Amino acid sequence: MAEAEESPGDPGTASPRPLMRDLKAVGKKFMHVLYPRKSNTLLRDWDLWGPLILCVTLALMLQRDSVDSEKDGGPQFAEVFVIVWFGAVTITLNSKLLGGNISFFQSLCVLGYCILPLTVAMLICRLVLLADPGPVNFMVRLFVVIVMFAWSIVASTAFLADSQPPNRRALAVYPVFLFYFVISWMILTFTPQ
Amino acid sequence: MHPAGLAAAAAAGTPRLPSKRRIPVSQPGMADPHQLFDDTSSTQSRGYGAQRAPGGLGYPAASATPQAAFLADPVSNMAMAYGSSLAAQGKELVDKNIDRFIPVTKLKYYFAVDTMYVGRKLGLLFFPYLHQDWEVQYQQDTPVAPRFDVNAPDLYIPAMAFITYVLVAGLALGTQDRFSPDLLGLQASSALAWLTLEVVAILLSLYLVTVNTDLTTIDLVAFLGYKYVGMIGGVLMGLLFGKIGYYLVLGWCCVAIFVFMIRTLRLKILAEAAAEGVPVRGARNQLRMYLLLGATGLISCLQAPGVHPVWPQATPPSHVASPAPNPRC
Repeated sequence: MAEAEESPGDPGTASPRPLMRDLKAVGKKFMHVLYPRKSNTLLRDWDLWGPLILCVTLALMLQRDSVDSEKDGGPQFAEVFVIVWFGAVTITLNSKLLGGNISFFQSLCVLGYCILPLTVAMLICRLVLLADPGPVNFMVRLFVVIVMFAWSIVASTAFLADSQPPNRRALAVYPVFLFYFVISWMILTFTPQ
Repeated sequence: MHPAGLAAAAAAGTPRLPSKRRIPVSQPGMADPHQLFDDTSSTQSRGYGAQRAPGGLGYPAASATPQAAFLADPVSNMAMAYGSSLAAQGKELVDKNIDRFIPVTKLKYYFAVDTMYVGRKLGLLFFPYLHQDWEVQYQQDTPVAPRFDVNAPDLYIPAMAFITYVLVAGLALGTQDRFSPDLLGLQASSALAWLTLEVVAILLSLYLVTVNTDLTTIDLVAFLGYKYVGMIGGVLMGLLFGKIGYYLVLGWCCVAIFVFMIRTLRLKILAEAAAEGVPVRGARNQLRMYLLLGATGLISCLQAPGVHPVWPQATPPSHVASPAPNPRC
Protein backbone atom coordinates (compact mmCIF):
# COMPACT_ATOMS: atom_id res chain seq x y z
CA MET A 1 0.00 0.00 0.00
CA ALA A 2 0.96 3.57 -0.46
CA GLU A 3 2.15 4.46 3.05
CA ALA A 4 5.38 2.50 3.28
CA GLU A 5 7.73 5.44 3.33
CA GLU A 6 5.97 7.15 6.19
CA SER A 7 7.04 4.63 8.78
CA PRO A 8 9.98 5.87 10.84
CA GLY A 9 11.22 2.40 11.56
CA ASP A 10 14.69 1.02 11.13
CA PRO A 11 15.84 1.21 7.56
CA GLY A 12 17.06 -2.32 7.15
CA THR A 13 14.31 -4.29 8.91
CA ALA A 14 10.66 -4.50 7.76
CA SER A 15 8.59 -3.43 10.76
CA PRO A 16 5.15 -5.07 11.02
CA ARG A 17 2.41 -2.56 10.14
CA PRO A 18 0.12 -2.01 13.08
CA LEU A 19 -3.52 -2.94 12.49
CA MET A 20 -4.82 0.21 14.16
CA ARG A 21 -3.13 2.45 11.63
CA ASP A 22 -4.72 0.60 8.73
CA LEU A 23 -8.11 0.70 10.41
CA LYS A 24 -7.70 4.41 11.00
CA ALA A 25 -6.88 4.94 7.33
CA VAL A 26 -10.00 3.04 6.31
CA GLY A 27 -12.07 4.99 8.81
CA LYS A 28 -10.69 8.27 7.53
CA LYS A 29 -11.74 7.35 4.00
CA PHE A 30 -15.23 6.44 5.26
CA MET A 31 -15.47 9.96 6.70
CA HIS A 32 -14.39 11.41 3.37
CA VAL A 33 -17.17 9.54 1.64
CA LEU A 34 -19.81 10.56 4.16
CA TYR A 35 -18.87 14.23 3.86
CA PRO A 36 -17.78 14.50 0.25
CA ARG A 37 -15.68 17.46 -0.61
CA LYS A 38 -13.01 17.84 -3.22
CA SER A 39 -9.98 16.12 -1.79
CA ASN A 40 -7.34 13.74 -2.96
CA THR A 41 -7.16 11.41 0.02
CA LEU A 42 -9.12 8.59 -1.59
CA LEU A 43 -7.10 8.85 -4.74
CA ARG A 44 -3.65 9.28 -3.28
CA ASP A 45 -3.55 6.47 -0.72
CA TRP A 46 -5.82 3.96 -2.29
CA ASP A 47 -6.54 0.68 -0.58
CA LEU A 48 -9.08 -2.04 -1.21
CA TRP A 49 -9.82 -3.07 2.39
CA GLY A 50 -12.73 -0.69 2.74
CA PRO A 51 -14.48 -1.86 -0.43
CA LEU A 52 -13.96 -5.47 0.60
CA ILE A 53 -15.52 -4.90 4.03
CA LEU A 54 -18.44 -3.03 2.50
CA CYS A 55 -19.02 -5.64 -0.20
CA VAL A 56 -18.98 -8.52 2.27
CA THR A 57 -21.32 -6.67 4.64
CA LEU A 58 -23.74 -5.88 1.83
CA ALA A 59 -23.68 -9.43 0.47
CA LEU A 60 -24.26 -10.88 3.96
CA MET A 61 -27.18 -8.56 4.62
CA LEU A 62 -28.77 -9.39 1.30
CA GLN A 63 -29.03 -13.05 2.28
CA ARG A 64 -32.42 -14.44 3.03
CA ASP A 65 -33.38 -16.67 5.91
CA SER A 66 -35.01 -19.38 3.83
CA VAL A 67 -32.98 -22.32 2.62
CA ASP A 68 -35.07 -22.71 -0.50
CA SER A 69 -33.22 -20.49 -2.96
CA GLU A 70 -34.99 -21.59 -6.12
CA LYS A 71 -38.15 -19.57 -5.82
CA ASP A 72 -37.43 -16.49 -3.79
CA GLY A 73 -35.17 -14.91 -6.39
CA GLY A 74 -32.78 -13.22 -4.02
CA PRO A 75 -29.11 -12.74 -4.82
CA GLN A 76 -26.63 -15.28 -3.62
CA PHE A 77 -23.51 -14.11 -1.85
CA ALA A 78 -21.36 -14.76 -4.89
CA GLU A 79 -23.77 -12.94 -7.17
CA VAL A 80 -23.53 -9.71 -5.18
CA PHE A 81 -19.76 -9.98 -5.21
CA VAL A 82 -19.64 -10.55 -8.94
CA ILE A 83 -22.04 -7.70 -9.67
CA VAL A 84 -20.12 -5.24 -7.51
CA TRP A 85 -16.63 -6.08 -8.67
CA PHE A 86 -17.48 -6.72 -12.29
CA GLY A 87 -19.42 -3.47 -12.41
CA ALA A 88 -16.53 -1.55 -10.85
CA VAL A 89 -14.05 -3.06 -13.31
CA THR A 90 -16.29 -2.17 -16.25
CA ILE A 91 -16.64 1.42 -15.10
CA THR A 92 -12.89 1.70 -14.67
CA LEU A 93 -12.22 0.27 -18.14
CA ASN A 94 -14.73 2.68 -19.63
CA SER A 95 -13.14 5.60 -17.85
CA LYS A 96 -9.68 4.63 -19.02
CA LEU A 97 -10.80 4.08 -22.62
CA LEU A 98 -12.47 7.48 -22.60
CA GLY A 99 -9.06 8.89 -21.82
CA GLY A 100 -9.20 9.60 -18.11
CA ASN A 101 -6.02 10.04 -16.12
CA ILE A 102 -6.97 7.93 -13.16
CA SER A 103 -5.32 4.62 -12.45
CA PHE A 104 -7.10 1.28 -12.33
CA PHE A 105 -6.90 0.67 -8.59
CA GLN A 106 -7.62 4.26 -7.67
CA SER A 107 -10.90 4.05 -9.54
CA LEU A 108 -11.78 0.70 -7.95
CA CYS A 109 -11.00 2.21 -4.54
CA VAL A 110 -13.28 5.22 -5.07
CA LEU A 111 -16.17 3.17 -6.42
CA GLY A 112 -15.89 0.65 -3.61
CA TYR A 113 -15.79 3.24 -0.87
CA CYS A 114 -18.81 5.06 -2.29
CA ILE A 115 -20.93 1.96 -1.66
CA LEU A 116 -20.91 3.05 2.00
CA PRO A 117 -24.15 5.13 1.83
CA LEU A 118 -25.95 2.22 0.19
CA THR A 119 -24.74 -0.15 2.91
CA VAL A 120 -26.16 2.26 5.48
CA ALA A 121 -29.41 2.25 3.49
CA MET A 122 -29.42 -1.56 3.61
CA LEU A 123 -29.06 -1.45 7.40
CA ILE A 124 -31.91 1.03 7.71
CA CYS A 125 -34.09 -1.03 5.37
CA ARG A 126 -33.51 -4.15 7.40
CA LEU A 127 -34.53 -2.30 10.53
CA VAL A 128 -37.61 -0.82 8.88
CA LEU A 129 -38.62 -4.28 7.61
CA LEU A 130 -38.90 -5.47 11.20
CA ALA A 131 -42.10 -3.46 11.39
CA ASP A 132 -45.23 -4.75 9.65
CA PRO A 133 -45.15 -4.57 5.84
CA GLY A 134 -47.36 -2.22 3.89
CA PRO A 135 -47.25 0.71 1.51
CA VAL A 136 -45.93 3.08 4.19
CA ASN A 137 -43.10 0.68 4.84
CA PHE A 138 -42.29 0.62 1.16
CA MET A 139 -42.43 4.42 0.84
CA VAL A 140 -40.02 4.87 3.73
CA ARG A 141 -37.61 2.37 2.25
CA LEU A 142 -37.92 3.94 -1.20
CA PHE A 143 -37.15 7.36 0.21
CA VAL A 144 -34.12 6.15 2.16
CA VAL A 145 -32.73 4.24 -0.82
CA ILE A 146 -33.20 7.18 -3.17
CA VAL A 147 -31.43 9.56 -0.79
CA MET A 148 -28.52 7.20 -0.28
CA PHE A 149 -28.30 6.50 -4.02
CA ALA A 150 -28.02 10.23 -4.70
CA TRP A 151 -25.41 10.52 -1.95
CA SER A 152 -23.32 7.73 -3.49
CA ILE A 153 -23.42 9.33 -6.89
CA VAL A 154 -22.50 12.77 -5.55
CA ALA A 155 -19.64 11.29 -3.52
CA SER A 156 -18.16 9.30 -6.38
CA THR A 157 -18.60 12.15 -8.86
CA ALA A 158 -16.74 14.48 -6.52
CA PHE A 159 -13.72 12.21 -6.80
CA LEU A 160 -13.99 10.92 -10.35
CA ALA A 161 -15.18 13.98 -12.20
CA ASP A 162 -11.82 15.70 -12.11
CA SER A 163 -10.17 12.93 -14.06
CA GLN A 164 -12.13 13.66 -17.24
CA PRO A 165 -12.33 16.84 -19.32
CA PRO A 166 -15.68 18.61 -19.02
CA ASN A 167 -17.04 17.54 -22.40
CA ARG A 168 -16.83 13.87 -21.39
CA ARG A 169 -17.82 14.03 -17.76
CA ALA A 170 -21.41 12.96 -18.33
CA LEU A 171 -20.21 9.99 -20.37
CA ALA A 172 -18.01 8.79 -17.51
CA VAL A 173 -20.66 9.38 -14.84
CA TYR A 174 -23.43 7.47 -16.67
CA PRO A 175 -22.08 3.94 -15.96
CA VAL A 176 -21.51 4.95 -12.33
CA PHE A 177 -25.19 5.89 -12.22
CA LEU A 178 -26.13 2.48 -13.67
CA PHE A 179 -23.89 0.67 -11.18
CA TYR A 180 -25.36 2.27 -8.09
CA PHE A 181 -28.82 1.93 -9.59
CA VAL A 182 -28.40 -1.85 -9.76
CA ILE A 183 -27.21 -2.00 -6.17
CA SER A 184 -30.08 0.23 -5.00
CA TRP A 185 -32.52 -1.96 -6.90
CA MET A 186 -31.18 -5.06 -5.14
CA ILE A 187 -31.53 -3.31 -1.77
CA LEU A 188 -35.02 -2.02 -2.47
CA THR A 189 -36.41 -5.34 -3.62
CA PHE A 190 -35.03 -7.20 -0.64
CA THR A 191 -37.69 -8.88 1.44
CA PRO A 192 -36.72 -11.42 4.09
CA GLN A 193 -38.87 -14.54 3.95
CA MET B 1 22.17 5.32 -13.79
CA HIS B 2 25.78 4.91 -14.82
CA PRO B 3 28.55 4.63 -12.31
CA ALA B 4 29.57 8.29 -12.64
CA GLY B 5 26.11 9.29 -11.56
CA LEU B 6 26.24 6.87 -8.69
CA ALA B 7 29.60 8.14 -7.66
CA ALA B 8 28.35 11.70 -7.78
CA ALA B 9 25.39 10.74 -5.66
CA ALA B 10 27.63 8.93 -3.24
CA ALA B 11 30.02 11.84 -3.14
CA ALA B 12 27.19 14.26 -2.59
CA GLY B 13 25.74 11.99 0.02
CA THR B 14 28.77 11.56 2.12
CA PRO B 15 29.55 15.19 2.89
CA ARG B 16 25.96 15.75 3.98
CA LEU B 17 26.57 14.01 7.28
CA PRO B 18 29.14 16.33 8.77
CA SER B 19 27.99 16.30 12.39
CA LYS B 20 26.26 12.97 12.97
CA ARG B 21 28.76 10.33 12.09
CA ARG B 22 26.63 7.37 13.15
CA ILE B 23 27.35 5.46 10.00
CA PRO B 24 30.98 5.18 8.95
CA VAL B 25 31.10 6.94 5.63
CA SER B 26 34.15 7.75 3.66
CA GLN B 27 35.86 10.96 4.75
CA PRO B 28 35.78 13.74 2.20
CA GLY B 29 39.48 13.52 1.69
CA MET B 30 39.62 9.74 1.34
CA ALA B 31 39.41 8.00 -2.00
CA ASP B 32 35.95 6.41 -2.31
CA PRO B 33 36.37 3.13 -4.23
CA HIS B 34 33.40 4.00 -6.44
CA GLN B 35 34.65 7.50 -7.13
CA LEU B 36 36.37 8.23 -10.38
CA PHE B 37 38.31 11.16 -8.98
CA ASP B 38 39.78 12.22 -5.67
CA ASP B 39 37.61 14.59 -3.73
CA THR B 40 40.38 16.66 -2.20
CA SER B 41 38.56 19.93 -1.58
CA SER B 42 36.85 19.07 1.72
CA THR B 43 35.56 22.55 2.56
CA GLN B 44 34.28 23.03 -0.95
CA SER B 45 32.44 19.73 -0.95
CA ARG B 46 30.93 20.34 2.48
CA GLY B 47 29.70 23.72 1.35
CA TYR B 48 28.33 22.13 -1.79
CA GLY B 49 26.60 19.51 0.30
CA ALA B 50 25.10 22.12 2.58
CA GLN B 51 23.86 23.99 -0.45
CA ARG B 52 22.33 20.94 -1.99
CA ALA B 53 20.59 19.64 1.10
CA PRO B 54 17.91 22.31 1.25
CA GLY B 55 17.72 22.14 -2.55
CA GLY B 56 14.84 19.73 -2.21
CA LEU B 57 16.42 16.48 -3.31
CA GLY B 58 13.89 14.77 -1.13
CA TYR B 59 16.07 14.54 1.93
CA PRO B 60 14.75 17.38 4.06
CA ALA B 61 16.41 16.53 7.35
CA ALA B 62 18.89 14.30 5.67
CA SER B 63 21.49 14.50 8.34
CA ALA B 64 19.06 13.48 11.05
CA THR B 65 17.32 10.39 9.69
CA PRO B 66 19.08 7.20 8.86
CA GLN B 67 16.95 6.88 5.73
CA ALA B 68 19.21 9.22 3.79
CA ALA B 69 22.19 7.10 4.66
CA PHE B 70 20.24 4.02 3.62
CA LEU B 71 19.44 5.56 0.26
CA ALA B 72 22.81 7.14 -0.17
CA ASP B 73 24.42 3.75 0.10
CA PRO B 74 25.55 3.10 -3.50
CA VAL B 75 24.55 -0.57 -3.45
CA SER B 76 20.96 0.21 -2.60
CA ASN B 77 20.97 2.98 -5.19
CA MET B 78 21.97 0.47 -7.80
CA ALA B 79 19.38 -1.98 -6.52
CA MET B 80 16.68 0.69 -6.79
CA ALA B 81 17.77 1.58 -10.31
CA TYR B 82 17.81 -2.06 -11.34
CA GLY B 83 14.43 -2.64 -9.75
CA SER B 84 12.84 0.32 -11.49
CA SER B 85 14.29 -0.69 -14.86
CA LEU B 86 12.99 -4.22 -14.31
CA ALA B 87 9.55 -2.85 -13.54
CA ALA B 88 9.62 -0.71 -16.67
CA GLN B 89 10.63 -3.73 -18.75
CA GLY B 90 7.88 -5.82 -17.24
CA LYS B 91 5.31 -3.15 -17.94
CA GLU B 92 6.49 -2.89 -21.53
CA LEU B 93 6.20 -6.65 -21.94
CA VAL B 94 2.67 -6.73 -20.55
CA ASP B 95 1.62 -3.81 -22.75
CA LYS B 96 3.07 -5.43 -25.85
CA ASN B 97 1.34 -8.74 -25.18
CA ILE B 98 -1.99 -7.16 -24.34
CA ASP B 99 -1.75 -5.15 -27.53
CA ARG B 100 -1.46 -8.41 -29.45
CA PHE B 101 -4.77 -9.75 -28.18
CA ILE B 102 -6.81 -6.60 -27.61
CA PRO B 103 -5.81 -3.71 -29.88
CA VAL B 104 -5.96 -1.04 -27.21
CA THR B 105 -4.90 1.86 -29.43
CA LYS B 106 -7.53 0.94 -32.00
CA LEU B 107 -10.14 0.68 -29.27
CA LYS B 108 -9.19 4.13 -28.04
CA TYR B 109 -10.20 5.55 -31.39
CA TYR B 110 -13.68 4.19 -30.93
CA PHE B 111 -13.97 5.72 -27.48
CA ALA B 112 -12.81 9.19 -28.53
CA VAL B 113 -16.28 10.61 -28.08
CA ASP B 114 -17.86 13.45 -26.25
CA THR B 115 -21.28 14.25 -24.92
CA MET B 116 -22.41 16.24 -27.96
CA TYR B 117 -21.51 13.41 -30.32
CA VAL B 118 -23.42 10.92 -28.18
CA GLY B 119 -26.48 13.16 -28.11
CA ARG B 120 -26.49 13.69 -31.87
CA LYS B 121 -25.88 10.03 -32.61
CA LEU B 122 -28.77 8.97 -30.38
CA GLY B 123 -30.96 11.45 -32.22
CA LEU B 124 -29.81 9.95 -35.53
CA LEU B 125 -30.58 6.43 -34.33
CA PHE B 126 -34.15 7.32 -33.51
CA PHE B 127 -34.74 9.66 -36.46
CA PRO B 128 -32.40 9.10 -39.40
CA TYR B 129 -34.75 10.45 -42.06
CA LEU B 130 -33.65 14.05 -42.27
CA HIS B 131 -29.88 13.55 -42.17
CA GLN B 132 -28.35 14.29 -45.56
CA ASP B 133 -24.66 13.58 -45.52
CA TRP B 134 -23.68 10.09 -44.39
CA GLU B 135 -20.08 10.12 -45.52
CA VAL B 136 -17.34 9.74 -42.92
CA GLN B 137 -14.75 12.46 -43.21
CA TYR B 138 -11.17 11.40 -43.70
CA GLN B 139 -8.01 13.14 -42.69
CA GLN B 140 -4.95 11.96 -44.59
CA ASP B 141 -6.23 8.44 -45.17
CA THR B 142 -7.35 7.84 -41.61
CA PRO B 143 -10.95 8.36 -40.59
CA VAL B 144 -11.57 11.26 -38.30
CA ALA B 145 -12.26 10.55 -34.62
CA PRO B 146 -15.95 10.18 -33.73
CA ARG B 147 -15.75 13.38 -31.73
CA PHE B 148 -15.45 15.39 -34.92
CA ASP B 149 -17.82 13.57 -37.23
CA VAL B 150 -21.24 12.28 -36.32
CA ASN B 151 -21.12 9.62 -39.04
CA ALA B 152 -18.11 7.81 -37.63
CA PRO B 153 -18.83 4.60 -35.68
CA ASP B 154 -17.97 4.41 -32.01
CA LEU B 155 -18.04 1.69 -29.37
CA TYR B 156 -19.16 3.74 -26.36
CA ILE B 157 -22.84 3.82 -27.35
CA PRO B 158 -23.09 0.09 -28.22
CA ALA B 159 -21.28 -0.95 -25.03
CA MET B 160 -23.36 1.26 -22.77
CA ALA B 161 -26.54 0.34 -24.66
CA PHE B 162 -25.80 -3.35 -24.21
CA ILE B 163 -25.26 -3.01 -20.46
CA THR B 164 -28.28 -0.74 -20.08
CA TYR B 165 -30.41 -3.15 -22.07
CA VAL B 166 -29.45 -6.08 -19.83
CA LEU B 167 -30.26 -4.03 -16.73
CA VAL B 168 -33.52 -2.60 -18.08
CA ALA B 169 -34.59 -6.09 -19.14
CA GLY B 170 -33.90 -7.27 -15.61
CA LEU B 171 -35.92 -4.33 -14.30
CA ALA B 172 -38.85 -5.18 -16.56
CA LEU B 173 -38.73 -8.79 -15.46
CA GLY B 174 -38.61 -7.60 -11.88
CA THR B 175 -41.82 -5.63 -12.21
CA GLN B 176 -43.43 -8.82 -13.47
CA ASP B 177 -42.04 -10.73 -10.48
CA ARG B 178 -39.97 -12.89 -12.72
CA PHE B 179 -36.57 -11.56 -11.70
CA SER B 180 -33.57 -13.27 -10.20
CA PRO B 181 -29.96 -12.12 -10.56
CA ASP B 182 -28.89 -15.10 -12.59
CA LEU B 183 -31.41 -13.95 -15.19
CA LEU B 184 -29.21 -10.90 -15.69
CA GLY B 185 -26.38 -13.22 -16.65
CA LEU B 186 -28.68 -15.21 -18.90
CA GLN B 187 -29.92 -12.08 -20.69
CA ALA B 188 -26.39 -10.77 -21.08
CA SER B 189 -25.01 -13.96 -22.53
CA SER B 190 -27.94 -14.53 -24.86
CA ALA B 191 -27.76 -10.96 -26.18
CA LEU B 192 -24.02 -11.36 -26.68
CA ALA B 193 -24.59 -14.65 -28.50
CA TRP B 194 -27.08 -13.01 -30.86
CA LEU B 195 -24.62 -10.20 -31.55
CA THR B 196 -21.80 -12.61 -32.30
CA LEU B 197 -24.05 -14.60 -34.61
CA GLU B 198 -25.03 -11.49 -36.55
CA VAL B 199 -21.45 -10.28 -36.89
CA VAL B 200 -20.30 -13.69 -38.12
CA ALA B 201 -23.20 -13.91 -40.56
CA ILE B 202 -22.48 -10.51 -42.09
CA LEU B 203 -18.75 -11.16 -42.27
CA LEU B 204 -19.40 -14.50 -43.97
CA SER B 205 -21.77 -13.01 -46.51
CA LEU B 206 -19.34 -10.17 -47.25
CA TYR B 207 -16.60 -12.73 -47.78
CA LEU B 208 -18.74 -14.91 -50.04
CA VAL B 209 -19.71 -12.03 -52.28
CA THR B 210 -16.04 -10.90 -52.26
CA VAL B 211 -16.69 -7.33 -51.38
CA ASN B 212 -13.55 -5.29 -50.75
CA THR B 213 -14.37 -2.77 -48.12
CA ASP B 214 -12.49 -1.06 -45.37
CA LEU B 215 -15.20 -2.15 -42.97
CA THR B 216 -13.34 -3.70 -40.03
CA THR B 217 -14.84 -6.19 -37.61
CA ILE B 218 -14.97 -3.59 -34.86
CA ASP B 219 -16.87 -1.23 -37.17
CA LEU B 220 -19.38 -3.99 -37.81
CA VAL B 221 -19.75 -4.72 -34.09
CA ALA B 222 -20.35 -1.00 -33.53
CA PHE B 223 -23.04 -0.78 -36.23
CA LEU B 224 -24.78 -3.91 -35.06
CA GLY B 225 -24.59 -2.75 -31.46
CA TYR B 226 -26.56 0.38 -32.23
CA LYS B 227 -29.75 -1.64 -32.35
CA TYR B 228 -29.67 -2.08 -28.56
CA VAL B 229 -30.62 1.57 -28.24
CA GLY B 230 -33.92 0.86 -29.99
CA MET B 231 -34.50 -2.20 -27.85
CA ILE B 232 -34.00 -0.18 -24.68
CA GLY B 233 -36.49 2.38 -25.97
CA GLY B 234 -39.01 -0.36 -26.62
CA VAL B 235 -38.70 -1.94 -23.20
CA LEU B 236 -38.85 1.43 -21.40
CA MET B 237 -41.96 2.48 -23.29
CA GLY B 238 -43.46 -0.88 -22.53
CA LEU B 239 -42.80 -0.29 -18.83
CA LEU B 240 -44.41 3.12 -18.95
CA PHE B 241 -47.27 2.66 -21.40
CA GLY B 242 -47.99 -1.06 -21.56
CA LYS B 243 -48.36 -3.29 -24.56
CA ILE B 244 -49.39 -0.66 -27.11
CA GLY B 245 -46.48 1.60 -26.30
CA TYR B 246 -44.11 -1.35 -26.49
CA TYR B 247 -45.24 -2.47 -29.96
CA LEU B 248 -45.39 1.05 -31.34
CA VAL B 249 -41.91 2.02 -30.23
CA LEU B 250 -40.45 -1.32 -31.23
CA GLY B 251 -41.91 -0.95 -34.74
CA TRP B 252 -40.60 2.59 -35.01
CA CYS B 253 -37.14 1.55 -33.89
CA CYS B 254 -37.08 -1.38 -36.34
CA VAL B 255 -37.74 0.94 -39.28
CA ALA B 256 -35.36 3.60 -37.98
CA ILE B 257 -32.43 1.25 -37.49
CA PHE B 258 -33.13 -0.33 -40.88
CA VAL B 259 -32.88 3.05 -42.62
CA PHE B 260 -29.85 4.03 -40.56
CA MET B 261 -27.93 0.90 -41.38
CA ILE B 262 -28.83 0.94 -45.06
CA ARG B 263 -27.69 4.52 -45.46
CA THR B 264 -24.47 3.96 -43.54
CA LEU B 265 -23.44 0.61 -44.95
CA ARG B 266 -24.39 1.50 -48.51
CA LEU B 267 -21.53 3.95 -48.64
CA LYS B 268 -19.09 1.46 -47.21
CA ILE B 269 -20.03 -1.61 -49.22
CA LEU B 270 -21.00 -0.06 -52.52
CA ALA B 271 -18.20 2.49 -52.55
CA GLU B 272 -15.82 -0.04 -53.99
CA ALA B 273 -18.31 -0.97 -56.67
CA ALA B 274 -18.82 2.69 -57.50
CA ALA B 275 -15.07 3.13 -57.77
CA GLU B 276 -14.85 0.23 -60.21
CA GLY B 277 -17.66 1.70 -62.25
CA VAL B 278 -17.75 -0.91 -65.00
CA PRO B 279 -21.28 -1.56 -66.39
CA VAL B 280 -20.71 -5.32 -66.28
CA ARG B 281 -20.56 -4.99 -62.58
CA GLY B 282 -24.09 -3.74 -62.57
CA ALA B 283 -25.44 -7.14 -61.67
CA ARG B 284 -22.90 -7.42 -58.89
CA ASN B 285 -23.89 -4.07 -57.55
CA GLN B 286 -27.49 -5.16 -57.55
CA LEU B 287 -26.57 -8.38 -55.77
CA ARG B 288 -24.75 -6.42 -53.10
CA MET B 289 -27.67 -4.08 -52.69
CA TYR B 290 -30.08 -6.98 -52.23
CA LEU B 291 -27.69 -8.62 -49.82
CA LEU B 292 -27.45 -5.43 -47.84
CA LEU B 293 -31.19 -4.94 -47.74
CA GLY B 294 -31.79 -8.53 -46.72
CA ALA B 295 -29.16 -8.57 -44.03
CA THR B 296 -30.14 -5.31 -42.40
CA GLY B 297 -33.83 -6.17 -42.67
CA LEU B 298 -33.25 -9.45 -40.91
CA ILE B 299 -31.12 -7.84 -38.24
CA SER B 300 -33.52 -5.07 -37.49
CA CYS B 301 -36.30 -7.61 -37.24
CA LEU B 302 -34.20 -9.63 -34.86
CA GLN B 303 -34.64 -6.88 -32.31
CA ALA B 304 -38.06 -8.25 -31.54
CA PRO B 305 -37.14 -11.81 -30.62
CA GLY B 306 -34.25 -10.44 -28.62
CA VAL B 307 -36.74 -8.58 -26.47
CA HIS B 308 -39.32 -11.36 -26.55
CA PRO B 309 -38.43 -12.97 -23.20
CA VAL B 310 -38.97 -9.63 -21.52
CA TRP B 311 -42.34 -8.48 -22.84
CA PRO B 312 -45.13 -9.38 -22.65
CA GLN B 313 -46.15 -12.63 -21.10
CA ALA B 314 -49.71 -13.83 -20.84
CA THR B 315 -49.02 -16.52 -18.26
CA PRO B 316 -46.10 -16.29 -15.85
CA PRO B 317 -43.76 -19.14 -16.73
CA SER B 318 -41.68 -21.06 -14.23
CA HIS B 319 -38.50 -19.91 -15.88
CA VAL B 320 -37.73 -17.68 -18.80
CA ALA B 321 -37.93 -19.39 -22.19
CA SER B 322 -35.25 -18.88 -24.80
CA PRO B 323 -36.17 -16.37 -27.53
CA ALA B 324 -38.22 -17.91 -30.33
CA PRO B 325 -37.54 -16.44 -33.78
CA ASN B 326 -40.85 -14.73 -34.34
CA PRO B 327 -40.37 -11.70 -36.56
CA ARG B 328 -42.87 -9.04 -35.75
CA CYS B 329 -41.78 -6.24 -38.07
